[in-house]
Parts: sequence; C-alpha cells; structure tokens
Amino acid sequence: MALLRYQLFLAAGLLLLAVWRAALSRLPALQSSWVVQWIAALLGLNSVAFFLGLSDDYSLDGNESVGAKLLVQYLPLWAVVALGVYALASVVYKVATFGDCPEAASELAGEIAAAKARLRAAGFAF
Amino acid sequence: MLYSVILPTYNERDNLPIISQILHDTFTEAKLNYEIVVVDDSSPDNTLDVAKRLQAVFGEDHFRIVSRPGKLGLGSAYSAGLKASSGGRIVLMDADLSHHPKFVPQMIAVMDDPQRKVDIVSGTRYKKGGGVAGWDTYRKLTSCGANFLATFLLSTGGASDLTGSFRLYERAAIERILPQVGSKGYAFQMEILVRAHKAGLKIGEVPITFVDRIYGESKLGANEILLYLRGLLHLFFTT
Repeated sequence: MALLRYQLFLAAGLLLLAVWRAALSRLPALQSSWVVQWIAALLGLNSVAFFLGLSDDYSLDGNESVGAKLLVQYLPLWAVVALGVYALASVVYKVATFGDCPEAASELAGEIAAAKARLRAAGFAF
Repeated sequence: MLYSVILPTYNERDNLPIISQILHDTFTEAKLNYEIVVVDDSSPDNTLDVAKRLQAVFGEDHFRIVSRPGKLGLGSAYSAGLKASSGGRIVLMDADLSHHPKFVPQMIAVMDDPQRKVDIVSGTRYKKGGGVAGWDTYRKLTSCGANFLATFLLSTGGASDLTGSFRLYERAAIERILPQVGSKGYAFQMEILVRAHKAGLKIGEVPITFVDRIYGESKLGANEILLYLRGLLHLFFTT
C-alpha cells in the first residue's frame, strides 16, 4: 500500500534519527575519519567551534577534531539548515529566472481591438 | 472530437465577448469542433445578458449558458459546466483574458501525442517559454514560494505550476477527479493535479504566458495565503 506523504516524511525523519543514533555511538571513530573532518571543514564547523571557544585552532586534521564532533552531535540541526538553504536557493533562483513577458500584455491589447472589430461586424452591440 | 471550453464568469461583461471571439477564431483556424459553456453566477453587471447576445452571434451549438442563482464557488461551477457540456475533451480556463486561447492547440498537440498518452495538459507559467506579464517581485516571491512548498511536500508527478487554472482535460479524467476535490481558493487547482497524479493519470505541460488583469486590487491577502496553507496541509496528511 502506498505511503501517504506525511508518512513518507515521518519515515525519512525516523531514518535520519536512526543514522544519528548510530553515528553518536561511533563518535570517536567518526571524529578521526578524514571524510567527516573534511565535511566539517567545508561546512565551516571548525570555525564555529573556534569561535565558541571549544577548540584552540581551526585545524582540519588530527584525532581531536572538534568540528567533526559538532557535525555528528548536531546532525539533525544541520539537516534542517541544509533543507532551509536548499529551499531559499530554489525560490531565489526561480524568482531571478522568472519569465517576465510584458509583450504578452501589449499583444493582447492589439488582439482585443481586433476581436471587438470582428464582433461588431458580426452584429454584436457593445 | 468536440472541445468544450467551460468559462465560469462573475462580472465579465467586458471580457466575455472578447474571449469568446478569440476562442472562436482559434478553433475555427485549427479546424476543430468547439463549444463554449458559460457558467454565470448571477453577475451583478449583467454578464448573463451579454452571454445571451453572444449566443445569437455564435449560435446555440457553439455557445451554451448555465445561469446560477448566486456565487456558488469555482468547483461547483466546473461541475455545472461539465454537466451542460458534450465535448470529449474539456478546456478549463479563466474568462478574464489572463489566459490566451492560442495555447489550446498546443495543449491539444501534447494530448494527441501517442508516445505520451497524457490525460491532462496543464498550462505552466514556470517553465521556459512561459511567464507572467504584470507581476512585481513580491508577487513572484509568493508564487514561487508557494509552488516550492507544494512540490516539496506533495507528490505531483513533475507538474511545475500547481495553482494554474488553464488546463485541457480528457472528459473521463476531470469527471473522475473533480468530485474528490474539496479545497477552496488557490489550493483547489493544486488538489486537482495531486489527486489526478495519485489516481495514476498522466499530466503533460505546455508553457503559457499569463497576463495579470487584476489592476490595483490585491488578490493575495493574508486570508488567501492561510486558505492555501490549510489546503496544502490537508493534502499532505491525506494523499
């Protein structure tokens, strides 16, 4: 039986939570993984950690990468932020590339006049 | 194949003659059989009188009139128009000249395509080749925002313009879906496409240009927006 939309979103949310839980229980291993450290660096989380006073440097390698830790610990938050960025970017893009067609309005004005003429010719009284 | 164009009207005495003439010209040039079905909700500006005089010009088999006792809503206007029509394919569009009949042959071409077998062709303002005349940035923002929300939250089969009201339907498709639709306002058109997609019907698209004819007065107050969000949420939880 097909899932209703809210059930689909619920399932996705539960999946995310399960992944989060699994990641949290493997935190040390993930923290020293270069993949996670790179993603954290790309997302600017090392800077976030530095400014929050959680670490002494911006460094992106080493076994104690705080940025990577932040990434895993706040995973659902980053997911929501990512969604928000995607939504904003999509809408801004659509508005920026929106098809303005002022010529359609001027064309229409001409056609209205022509249609009125034909109607009068066919005996219609305005 | 007879094409029935259903035009719900409320205070359209100025636009009705024009849209009828342009429709007549479009169908005649394309050598297609057509009928216009005007569904008038007792317009205070006496659109009904104009409709009767147009019937004399175009003939009763090209021009039918359904007169209703008051403003009874778009959904029931469509139903009443459907009942009074005999075409195998139905065009639903606005009577205020914001939709141009020249796109109807393009929609028909898409529906005739044997490779695609679509049941509905939707006019879209958001694809390349389509667009709007007369929208400021605020209006574009709300429209694109609303559309993003709907396509993200709902399953729409790739349709890009969910609130548009210029579409061509196979009679079987619209007769099947319309009774299921309960939303009001902008969500109404959206619900048609969502339920059609859920029923397995295929939706094709044609880029259209929309000329906004409402000068000055805003059609998009807080009420309309709330009504839309309610409709959206309802569909989110029930489809």
